[in-house]
Amino acid sequence: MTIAFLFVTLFGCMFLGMPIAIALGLSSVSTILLFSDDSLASIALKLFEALSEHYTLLAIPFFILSSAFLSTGGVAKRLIRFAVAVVGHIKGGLAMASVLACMLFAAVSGSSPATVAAIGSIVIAGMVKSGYPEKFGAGVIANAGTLGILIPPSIVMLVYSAATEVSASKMFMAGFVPGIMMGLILMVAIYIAARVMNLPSQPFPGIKELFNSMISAMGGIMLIVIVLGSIYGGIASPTEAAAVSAVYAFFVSVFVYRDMGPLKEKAWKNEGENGVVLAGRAIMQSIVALPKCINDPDVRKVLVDATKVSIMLLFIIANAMLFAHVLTTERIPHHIAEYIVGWGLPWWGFLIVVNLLLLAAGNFMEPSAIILIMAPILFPIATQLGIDPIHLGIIMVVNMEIGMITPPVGLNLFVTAGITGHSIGWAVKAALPWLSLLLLFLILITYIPQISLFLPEFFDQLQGYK
Amino acid sequence: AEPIVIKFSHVVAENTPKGQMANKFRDLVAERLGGKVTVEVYPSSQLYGDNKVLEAMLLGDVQIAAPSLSKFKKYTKKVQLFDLPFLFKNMEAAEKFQQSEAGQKLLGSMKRKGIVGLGYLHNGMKQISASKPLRVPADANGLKFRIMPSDVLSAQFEAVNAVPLKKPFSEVFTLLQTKAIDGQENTWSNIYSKKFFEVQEYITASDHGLLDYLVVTSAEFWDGLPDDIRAEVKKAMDESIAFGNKIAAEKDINDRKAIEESGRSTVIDLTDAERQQWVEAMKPVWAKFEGDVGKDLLDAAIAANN
Amino acid sequence: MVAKLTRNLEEGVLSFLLVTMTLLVFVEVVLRFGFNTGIHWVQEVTLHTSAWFVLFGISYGVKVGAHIGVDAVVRLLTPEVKRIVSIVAVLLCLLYCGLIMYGGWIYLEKVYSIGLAMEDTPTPGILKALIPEHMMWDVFKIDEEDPLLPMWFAHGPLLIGFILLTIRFLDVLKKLITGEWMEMHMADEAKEALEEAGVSTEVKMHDDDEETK
Ligand code: NA
Ligand code: NA
Repeated sequence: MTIAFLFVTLFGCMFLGMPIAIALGLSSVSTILLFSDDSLASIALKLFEALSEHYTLLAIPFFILSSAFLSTGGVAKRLIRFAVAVVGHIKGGLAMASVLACMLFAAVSGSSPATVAAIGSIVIAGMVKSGYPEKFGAGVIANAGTLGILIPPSIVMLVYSAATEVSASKMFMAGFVPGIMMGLILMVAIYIAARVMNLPSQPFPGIKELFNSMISAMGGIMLIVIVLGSIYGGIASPTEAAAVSAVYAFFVSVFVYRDMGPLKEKAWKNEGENGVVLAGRAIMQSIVALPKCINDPDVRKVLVDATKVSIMLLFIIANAMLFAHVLTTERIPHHIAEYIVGWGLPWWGFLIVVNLLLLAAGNFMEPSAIILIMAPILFPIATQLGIDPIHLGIIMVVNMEIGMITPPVGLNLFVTAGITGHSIGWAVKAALPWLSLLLLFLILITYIPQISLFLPEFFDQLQGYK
Repeated sequence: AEPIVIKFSHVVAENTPKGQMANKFRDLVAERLGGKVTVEVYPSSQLYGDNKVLEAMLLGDVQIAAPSLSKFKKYTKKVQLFDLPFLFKNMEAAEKFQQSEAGQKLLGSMKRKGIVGLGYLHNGMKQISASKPLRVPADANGLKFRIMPSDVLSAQFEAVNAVPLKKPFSEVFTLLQTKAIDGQENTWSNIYSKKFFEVQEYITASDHGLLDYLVVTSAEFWDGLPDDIRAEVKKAMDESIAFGNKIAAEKDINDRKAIEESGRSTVIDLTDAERQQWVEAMKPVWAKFEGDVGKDLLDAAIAANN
Repeated sequence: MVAKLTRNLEEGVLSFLLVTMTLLVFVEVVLRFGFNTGIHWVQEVTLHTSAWFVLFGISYGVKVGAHIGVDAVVRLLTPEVKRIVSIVAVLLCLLYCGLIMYGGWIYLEKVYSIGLAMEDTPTPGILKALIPEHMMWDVFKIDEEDPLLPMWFAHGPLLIGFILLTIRFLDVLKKLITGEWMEMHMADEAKEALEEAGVSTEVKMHDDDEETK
């Protein structure tokens, strides 16, 4: 009865068009009010706890801020140039380069929609200009963009860590191989499609452009090194690495690339300047520019954009935690777990159920909320069946990726539609053929745990234990 | 009538000493007061973390919790006593103090703030682990140690010129593994269960401090219980705590053994002379907190060593 | 004019909180890695800054349409039905605010009456200087011997944030009733991501545009 009320209210509120966060919150509070002895005060307390006691989740606003600087500050643009120089000359190369650029951007950004927006807004138009069907380009980007949450860093993985106390660093490490694998699968599929559809290739731009584009993209590539390097090299925890990455992204965008902020359009090198003068001028310029950033419209806009997304996401997460709290006080995970265990499923059968549940949920809900609600239910059963918590986490993440390109709530679809100026329906059709690849990939990830576990276990061996 | 429901919220797994103690309490109450009182145990921070559970208790939504002693600083500064380094020479001395008149009086000292202590639950004596061998205080010079939020522990590490850093328990493993911090202090059972020994090359068997829990309930709830039921619940609690303490003591020995046998970490036993150096370096911390703790309490604790 | 001022104030405060928490963690890393030291109150302050950031930001999020929702069903309705459904939705949002405010008030009242304080965060010197001595404990619950920041103060934004949210929803309700708005204005994360990337395109919800091509 309680379970029914909780979920009916949740979906009722959602379909009335209320913000997802408040639908989660109201269904939780009203369930407590009607079916439990708990006080409203304890609910308020729990909400505050959800907002103020999760150090891991602090990484979310930091990664969002860093993404915002990277997309506005010209990092995406340079990563694309580099990707085109690397694979552009192969048949279907521009599409493959787009996938590579998505993978690179995914390695600095924690979110999928951000990845689609940053890369897609540039490359889809480029592909059309080079003679690709627009649907083809849009479909590739909508799918490749989902890598944003599989290739570390990943906001969804941070949420999974907060919900299950599995180490975020280990989750990040586990996403690496699957992320690269999915990227390669997409590229191979593109190559085959390009052969069949006789899609164009670019001429090889030459070693010099390859080198120059790499140097130019260094600002972004260095961030991959900084984020992953500082986590695994012993300088910082994921939360700290996220803060470092936000500060770094600001620095690169404003002072190095100068695509935004007070130094915008100020040339790096003036006519006839030598190195010393140049360096001296750059330092002086930067010192003068730093305080100007406080009132700079570009910088302020990035901050406001990041603020909006962060608040939306953190408020959903806090309310989803409230929802999970109600599930716990009413012992609902306990009952569902007993029920599912009662079926006597083997581990692979259980994982089918997991995938079906998550795919269904992915149609309607925001990934963080799904993870927070489903993890407490699935985690204990998985542990009983001997499924590795990290493996379960990666399975959940891949399901969330798929949820991002299935209607009606599919963030990547919305972004793709927005970039191309077409309807959501058009975006759905564009993404559909590639969706089947993701589903195939999901089966691989589900039934070959080693894809996810190889790297974390390998690192453990390197460190010399187990 | 509806049975009285006691929600017991804690933050560790069910197979730990605290988890087993909570389950034992639930079973004893069911056996003796079945139908009148029901205990529901919520392990693994399912309901609240240690930082908020006491507030939830004051609001009447949790009836029993067992956070670390240092979490009670907000309610009485006297609990800082238990963080003082080298105050108790061993667990027996700590136990003796806790059962003494002064120790029992301390349980009631937070009543004004709405909390009543039901008893002390052991975790164990703390050891210091690090990425390099620590034999004398000078070895800790400049090293970064993770501590629980406690001013006493901060002062303790500063006393040996080390750098105390507050970090959440959940991040400690990663920070140690990546050498972002050099060491930490904990009981054998925590070092074992959180796998710190796998990422720390040396553990100094210092027994330098106490890491215990305080089992508490809210004064409002406790005073509201019918006298006969309160007595029966308290009795079940005392037995459960004794049961939990016995498991903790065994676990302490077994986990140390398991760590030594793993070969992952070298356990350093201090000679009397070396240990004395640590005592001398850290003991000045006592004076700093004597005001907060109270001289009588401090004296009673010192006396328990004899 | 007033609207612009309010907006600037809101955006300023929220940006300040976001930058503060980022820099606090950044500085912590720099201090530890570069100078082998740390500041003991940073963690608690960062976590509470993030809580303040969200609590002060929810109402702003409603104003600028930052909260995402499912409009798949509402979108099928006729404008007039949609307006009525939206009114119901806003009333339910107000119910949520009311319940949290009620619970929040009781919680804060309890924390205040007991006089709980934060674990690490000191009361800023400027606050202490402004408060007359006899009011330190009696009114502000600041312990003079150990002047940690009182918890009611640190947790107070729970109430303030929801009061602001209530005001915002009342405003939306008024607009819906007078017919100024026909639905709750709610953008989606997609649009945010696009704007960040410098693309400002309206997301089309229907398929009909395709047929007209
Ligand atoms: Na990513
Ligand atoms: Na979806």
